[in-house]
Amino acid sequence: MKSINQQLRRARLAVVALGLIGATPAAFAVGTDFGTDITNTASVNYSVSGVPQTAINSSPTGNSTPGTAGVPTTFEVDKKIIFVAEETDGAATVTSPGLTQVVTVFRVTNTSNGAQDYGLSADNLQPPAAIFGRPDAFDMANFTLHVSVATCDTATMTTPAFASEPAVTHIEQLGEDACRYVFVRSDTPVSPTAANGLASTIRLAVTATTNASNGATAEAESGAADNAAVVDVVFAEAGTLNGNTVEDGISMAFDQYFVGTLTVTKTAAVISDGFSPAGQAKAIPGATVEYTITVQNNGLVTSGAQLTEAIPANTTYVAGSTTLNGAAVSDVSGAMPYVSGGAISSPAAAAGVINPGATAGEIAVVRFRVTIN
Amino acid sequence: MIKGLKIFGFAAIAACGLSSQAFAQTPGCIVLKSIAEVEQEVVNAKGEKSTKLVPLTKAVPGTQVVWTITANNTCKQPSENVSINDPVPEHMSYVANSAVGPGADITFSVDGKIFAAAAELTVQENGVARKARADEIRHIRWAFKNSLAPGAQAFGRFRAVLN
Repeated sequence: MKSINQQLRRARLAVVALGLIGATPAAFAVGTDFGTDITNTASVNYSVSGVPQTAINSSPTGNSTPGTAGVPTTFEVDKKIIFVAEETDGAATVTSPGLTQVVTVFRVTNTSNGAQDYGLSADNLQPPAAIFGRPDAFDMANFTLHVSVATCDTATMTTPAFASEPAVTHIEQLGEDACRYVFVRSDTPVSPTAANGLASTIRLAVTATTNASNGATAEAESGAADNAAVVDVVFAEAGTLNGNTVEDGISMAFDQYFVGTLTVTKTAAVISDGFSPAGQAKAIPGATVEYTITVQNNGLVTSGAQLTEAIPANTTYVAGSTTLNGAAVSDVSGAMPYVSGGAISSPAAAAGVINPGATAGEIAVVRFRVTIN
Repeated sequence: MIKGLKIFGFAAIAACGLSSQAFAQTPGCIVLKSIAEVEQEVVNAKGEKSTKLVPLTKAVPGTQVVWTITANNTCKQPSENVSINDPVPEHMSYVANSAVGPGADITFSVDGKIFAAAAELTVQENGVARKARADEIRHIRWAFKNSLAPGAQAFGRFRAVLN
């Protein structure tokens, strides 16, 4: 009997040791899953009048019967809901007046101790402070929500492209320590409500919702004492950021649409007047004046950009003096080429295309000269 | 881990069965009880803070649970060499220096085999022995120095955090 006991003990020790090595790190990474039973059974050895007695195992209410397994003292791990909604790229999304279904991207990360449903909603509700340095000037409309099929890595924030995912109202069973990207699409109002330089800030609100409710039923924190046999809910999400309330089962993030159109600037400089030294020419009759028109795109890639420019009254166009980005543009019927309208572009871009940006490689520059009558 | 525990339970039952078939239904001398509680801060009318143990409220990762094992001697003779063994529950980490037991020598084990004072426990890591961390302690033993008189109670207590 002794040898059997020893063998049994040896076998069980080996298994316990192996189990510890394998299981402990994973358990620390995410917390014990909700619904897990935590059990404990103590045992006591003793003697009476010098005679060793059979060991007794414990129960929650007290056990005195030797030779039985006892009753484990058990409680069930409750649900600790922790999650966060975040804007992904730290910048506004550029839009244009009247542009519809403009996509912005958020990420929702679940660090609860188990999978969790999250209901989604988007609206024009504002954060306590303006974001990206711009006030909210107008409202977007017709919000739809789409859960990205793109891979989501909690360690690396990216901004995936919209891939025609269907409109949804919730994220179904987001795994623990997992994340999903959420696209919000909305329509830009027409000009002048949406005008160059104006911005609209929008909100994504994410609510922890019960499984199988399709995002419709919010999880409720249980107020009473623990029911050891039931999975209770505890909200533990952080974040006073953006006006979020801690531990209420709701996380919200904000993003911004920014209207960018073309900025046109026109300057004039007297080149020579036939009398003054270089650099000191005056605007006297007979003087040559050079006009410089710059067109900068503050928004999305533009096609079909056309410039129409009249020759100022009391001046005469200097034939063959027009350039676009430094290259000569031929006169049309002996007149300045843009009098009747003509395509302009960024340097090295196709006709009519002005790339967004403020660098010399993106701004279109038209120059022409006139003489003062 | 779960597999390990199941085998453990099987082994324990088998061992008991082999050694005690004759007394299986006869009550022993000790009633052994294990309960789980949490510490709660209470403020009295004077605004003084104190703590008390209350039945377990929400148990989520990070919750610290106070486990109390009581042994009551229900016989007319004293019980000698009373020794309580308690495994730290799976998914829980023992809180360093939290085990107490009046009149008991408390020893710990990482493997259920070698019991020693917490500071003397070692584990092998990459072939080198190092001191065991508190969360590596998986078994606690209270060996009571004195006999447990009829009607008397002995208890051991420890804290563990839910992983």
